[in-house]
Amino acid sequence: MGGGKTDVWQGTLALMVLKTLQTMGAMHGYGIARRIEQTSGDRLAVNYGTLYPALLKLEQEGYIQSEWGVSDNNRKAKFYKLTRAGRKQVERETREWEKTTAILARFLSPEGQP
Amino acid sequence: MRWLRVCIIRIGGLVGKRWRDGELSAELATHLQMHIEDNVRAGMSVEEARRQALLKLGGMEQTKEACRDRRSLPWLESLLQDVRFGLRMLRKNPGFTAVVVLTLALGIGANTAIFSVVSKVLIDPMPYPNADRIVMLKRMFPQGLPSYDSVSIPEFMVWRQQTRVFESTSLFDGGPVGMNVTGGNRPVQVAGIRASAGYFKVFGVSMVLGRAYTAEEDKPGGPHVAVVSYGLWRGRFGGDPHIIGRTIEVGGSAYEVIGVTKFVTRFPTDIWLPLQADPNSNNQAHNYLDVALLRPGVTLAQARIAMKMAAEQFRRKFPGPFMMPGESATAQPFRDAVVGNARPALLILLGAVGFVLLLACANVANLLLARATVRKREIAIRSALGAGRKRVIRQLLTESLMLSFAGGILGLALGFTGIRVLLAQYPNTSGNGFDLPLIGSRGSAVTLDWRVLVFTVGVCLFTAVLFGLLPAIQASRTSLSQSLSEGGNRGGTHRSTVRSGLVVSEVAIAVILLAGAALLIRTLSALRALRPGFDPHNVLVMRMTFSGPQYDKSAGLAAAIQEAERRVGALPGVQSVALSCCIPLEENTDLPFSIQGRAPTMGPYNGDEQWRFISPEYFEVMRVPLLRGRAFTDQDVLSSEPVVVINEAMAKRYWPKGDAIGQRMSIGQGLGPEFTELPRRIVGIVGNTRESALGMAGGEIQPVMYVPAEQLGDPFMQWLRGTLSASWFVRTKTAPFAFSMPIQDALREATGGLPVAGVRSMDQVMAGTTAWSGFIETLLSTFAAIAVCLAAIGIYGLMAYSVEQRKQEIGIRMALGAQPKDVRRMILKEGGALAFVGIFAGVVAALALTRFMASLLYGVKPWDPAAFGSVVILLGAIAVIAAYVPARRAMRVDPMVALRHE
Repeated sequence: MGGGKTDVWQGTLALMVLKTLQTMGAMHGYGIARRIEQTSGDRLAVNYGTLYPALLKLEQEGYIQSEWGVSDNNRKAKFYKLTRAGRKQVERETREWEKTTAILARFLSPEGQP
Repeated sequence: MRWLRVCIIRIGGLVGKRWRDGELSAELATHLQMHIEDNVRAGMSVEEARRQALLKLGGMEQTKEACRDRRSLPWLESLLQDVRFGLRMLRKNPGFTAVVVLTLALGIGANTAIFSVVSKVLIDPMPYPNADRIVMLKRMFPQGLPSYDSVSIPEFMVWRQQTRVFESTSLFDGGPVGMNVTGGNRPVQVAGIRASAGYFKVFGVSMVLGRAYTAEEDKPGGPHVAVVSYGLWRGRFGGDPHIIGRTIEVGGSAYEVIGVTKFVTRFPTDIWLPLQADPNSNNQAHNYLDVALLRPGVTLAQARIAMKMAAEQFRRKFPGPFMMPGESATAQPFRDAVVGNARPALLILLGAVGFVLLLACANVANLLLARATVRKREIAIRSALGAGRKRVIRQLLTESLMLSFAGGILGLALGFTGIRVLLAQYPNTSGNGFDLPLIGSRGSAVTLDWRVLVFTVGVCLFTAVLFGLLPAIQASRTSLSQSLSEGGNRGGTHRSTVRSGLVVSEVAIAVILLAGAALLIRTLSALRALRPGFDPHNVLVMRMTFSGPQYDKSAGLAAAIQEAERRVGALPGVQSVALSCCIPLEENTDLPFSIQGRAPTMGPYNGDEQWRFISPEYFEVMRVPLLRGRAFTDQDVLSSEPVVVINEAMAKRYWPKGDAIGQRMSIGQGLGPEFTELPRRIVGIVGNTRESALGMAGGEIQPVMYVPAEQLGDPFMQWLRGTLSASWFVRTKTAPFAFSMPIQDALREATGGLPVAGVRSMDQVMAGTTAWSGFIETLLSTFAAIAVCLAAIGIYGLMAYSVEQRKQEIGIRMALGAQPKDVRRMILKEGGALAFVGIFAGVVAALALTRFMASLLYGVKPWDPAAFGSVVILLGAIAVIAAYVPARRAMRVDPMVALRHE
């Protein structure tokens, strides 16, 4: 998984999954992984070993739900979609994230500049 | 609350594992396929596409494992595994499991039951609103002499002036008096007391209807008012809402009901009448009890100082013989007064169950240690197969905890039933005349005590964990090759030292409990061997209160006695009938007397001894032998010469030269107008009888003087007016209860319709006085029996284990020419040494502890050699038997088999 790609940061993977599902609607695991990699401009590599446990956790927490469906190329696959709680969680997490980055930005920006 | 949802889902993940695994595999397989297809589309060869996809997926199995862990709770899963495995192990060793669980259950159950009673009687607050401020006021004597609860009216009048410490005080009858309540369809005798007005304030009794009587109504010549109990109101008066103001007849006089108390189970009393004591009374008879409510913030020490001052005031006000030199007064917490003799008894039982618990723990520890050694090999194999150290320890710990848990559950069940069994045996009184109100009717107030259950289960858990864990850690540390090659035995000398120590202490504890039990058994047989001086068999006894106008005069009582002799005596099966004021062993009255022609030695008197009024046939009914002179006859009436019969002890003490007959004495002269009488001539001397309880307090022979009931005198009858309580004694030809009903009917007819109460046989009275000793003896013997069993199991277990361990050694010895006999002797010696050390330590400890039992013993010293000797012999024999079984097994070791064993 070298090639200059960064492994997805554990804590942010959940938010990425939720956000992906929010924009794309119901998707299967492979699709989610692909989409995250694409969105990052292939700068991130999703470790599947962490993706599926993360999906399971989100489902246990009630943010997403899954059901079996048929994929574009007629393959039986498990589709995940956002629940109402999940939508709220995306908003909350996004706000938190923005706050954190804003603060960090202040630290990292050259002194004196707003 | 998200985490809770997650938790529940994960617990749910424990089931349907296979199905979920299948789902995950399918999902991952799809994932892989999609990836391969994408790769192919991007121009890779199928082979390469597959390789790349697998690479990216990063290990299918790890992913599955990660998901599995997240799906449910891994620790819970392995716990369940441990439990399943543990259950299998325990089921495979049913003997071991049963012994450990039963041992724990006995320890837990016995402790829970005993402590539940103890906490109710000795620790929990008493059921009065201001229980901690209630004190009993009593007379105190110079050191060495007991203090007395009984108080006189003049003492009460002086003491109650200490208002700086007392918020309220009350004087009341020293025990419920039978009161005849008539005015309904049938007269009944109910328990009533006459109490001064402070009573309801001191005990915090509130009324559901009406009010309590006031100090104004409590003055001499005050109105006839009564307070009745909730029970009497509901039962006898049908809960009449208009009862206040209604007139009821108590003891032949009309009383107006002014109050109904709230429902209370703590008083064995159904009716309260104002005492209406005369503040200027000169009656020094100690017939009452005196309680006080301390003001808030007043300490017991302050109250005692106040009582000391009050006693000195009394001495100044009544100079003369009424207080002994050095006599004073004191206050005692009400609980102590009520609990009385029950306290040492209960504490000793508590100590005994504590020892049982210790013994149980030692035994469990011993068994667990033995088992751990046996399982050393198993553990080594499991470690070799890849079980981590933590995992092994956790497995062993799970097993110990399961044992504790099972023991705890069974112990709880034992505790539940134990309490009921205990209370069924529990004597009704504390041995000092009080009812024990604290345990409620039939012990209903006693419930399983959760605090002690938690404590006891905690101790057992601790034992199981400690002695389950230590060997587990040790076993898991041993190197594999070593324990596998040495074959799982030998070694462990250190641990068998611990085990020997445990067995020794088990034996020692068993000795302590056995010694206690043996001393009580000796006490009981000493008590039962005591000759009461009368013949209690085939005597029926019942109480009667003489109320009604005809009993204001002596002649009325005399007529009733003669009528009863005629009617009851005519019944088939009845031999004789008599009346006496007091039931031997239970009731006592004493009066001072002076001997004519002798200088007074005690104030104006010559002494103060037991006093009884009896009807002529009393000595015949009770079969008390007449030693000299004559007994009373029907001719000894009020108009004839006043006479008295004394017992041998009285004759010996006051007329040591044997010249008592014909002497004259005045009894109670100067106590009040009710005791004004001519000197009595001593006409007879009878044998000694035991008058006070046979039980713990001793039951020494006391001097007694008997006067004819017909000679009581009219002032005396008027003084007691309606409360003269006495008991009928009827000797029957065969078992007395068969004649109970006709006798009661005949007595009712003979006395003008008076009811009787408390029908018992004299045998029952006798048994009642030893009830406490019997109660403790039964329990202590049970505990001792348990202790002996446990100690025997301990010795047996250790020796059997030792034989198993030394099979090889024994085989070699026998191969080298040792005889089976020698082998047996070797093992017996080993067991005997342990037992000897244990017995020795136990005897030393028991000698130190049994002196705390001294107050419960009678006729036997706390170091009684016979009791201790039999304990040593018994335990020694049991130890030999317990070691003999494994010794025989050792004898039969086949050297060839033993040597080839490895």
